[in-house]
Amino acid sequence: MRHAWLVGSAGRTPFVGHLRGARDLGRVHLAWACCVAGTAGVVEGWEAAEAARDVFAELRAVGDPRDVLVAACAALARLDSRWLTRGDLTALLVATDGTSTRAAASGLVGLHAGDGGVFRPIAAPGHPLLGEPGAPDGTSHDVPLAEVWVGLPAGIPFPRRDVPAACGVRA
Amino acid sequence: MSALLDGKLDGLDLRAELPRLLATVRDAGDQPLAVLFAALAAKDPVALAEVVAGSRAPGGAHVVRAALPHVAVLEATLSPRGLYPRLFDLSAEAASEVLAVAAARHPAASWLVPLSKKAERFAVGKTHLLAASTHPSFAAVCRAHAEAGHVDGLVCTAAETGRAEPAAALLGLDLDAALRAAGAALGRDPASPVLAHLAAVWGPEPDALVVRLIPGLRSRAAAEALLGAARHLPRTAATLRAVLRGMV
Repeated sequence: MRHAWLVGSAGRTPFVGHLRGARDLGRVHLAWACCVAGTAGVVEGWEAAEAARDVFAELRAVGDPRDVLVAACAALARLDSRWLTRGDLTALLVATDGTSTRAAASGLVGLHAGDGGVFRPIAAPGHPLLGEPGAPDGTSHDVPLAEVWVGLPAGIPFPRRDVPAACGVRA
Repeated sequence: MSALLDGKLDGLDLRAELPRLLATVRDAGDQPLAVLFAALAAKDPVALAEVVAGSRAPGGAHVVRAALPHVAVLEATLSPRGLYPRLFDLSAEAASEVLAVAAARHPAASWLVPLSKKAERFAVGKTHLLAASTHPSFAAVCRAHAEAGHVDGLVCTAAETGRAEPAAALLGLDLDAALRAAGAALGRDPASPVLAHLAAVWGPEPDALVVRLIPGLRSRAAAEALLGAARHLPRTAATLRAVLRGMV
């Protein structure tokens, strides 16, 4: 199982609106990490995350990684408009079928790949996967195959140590 | 009863008469002080502050209780951070009343955390936490008491209010206590947004955490409500279904 993680925000409630998951859709393995309504209160953030979990639970196999990402982004774009109109959605979606690995994203200022606990940046400033928050438009780009991909939302430095904890990954 | 206790202050230079005022209050015994303190509050709040909280204030529960109706006037003379701890030190068996008034008037105040520790023998922090439970600062107050180790006060507050913030505040410090607080909140209010608050602190996959609070649930309503909120928590949902089959 490969994973997508999103670094939590600073403060006492770093994971408001966060969700994460992975599943196989036919031959394609899809991993996602999102933050929906992260600027809202704790309860609205949870409701938004649950709505996004519903989105990913309802996805069906549709073809290759590119097709899966198009379908997933289209589904995310149907989330409640109050989270989309205020750009309150950060997302990292990575799909791989073993031969092709592609990602779609929104709201990220950094993207890292991790293998064996070592993380390396894979998107230089200006990379098309880095950009403004909101529903990703379905455009995907090749990324290296990895055990985990870590998205860095705006305003948060990449953690110097214990990346899993900074992403809310618990042993 | 002396003229001073009758509130007859006309023509007196109260600052010059301060020693006599202090002596009158000190020697009042069980005689009512309400009329005198009301007159002082109206005429010279500084003199009142000297009498009830100054360096020579006689103190005692009787004096402090008579002063509490005038805390708004006293706060204009002394900062709350200075006033209430001083009243507390002078209050003897009226300490809990001082804490209650202070918490009701200043629910966001951080100095109430150490004052709670001095004032409450059981469920330390509960008075402050309950007073703050309807204030926007509630989550921050919960964190302050959690960092001070006031576990029982937080769990009691969760049980009395159904609020989830005490559990969230305890989560990074005392996992078992956090789970007790979460269970207590659900027991009081099955609709309490416990999952939202726990996940906001814990991380985006709270299933392994939430499943651990199930043994602490004491009501079918709480278990059913949690099951309704756990549609994306497979371990929690499966365990709850099994538990609910055995619950009356």
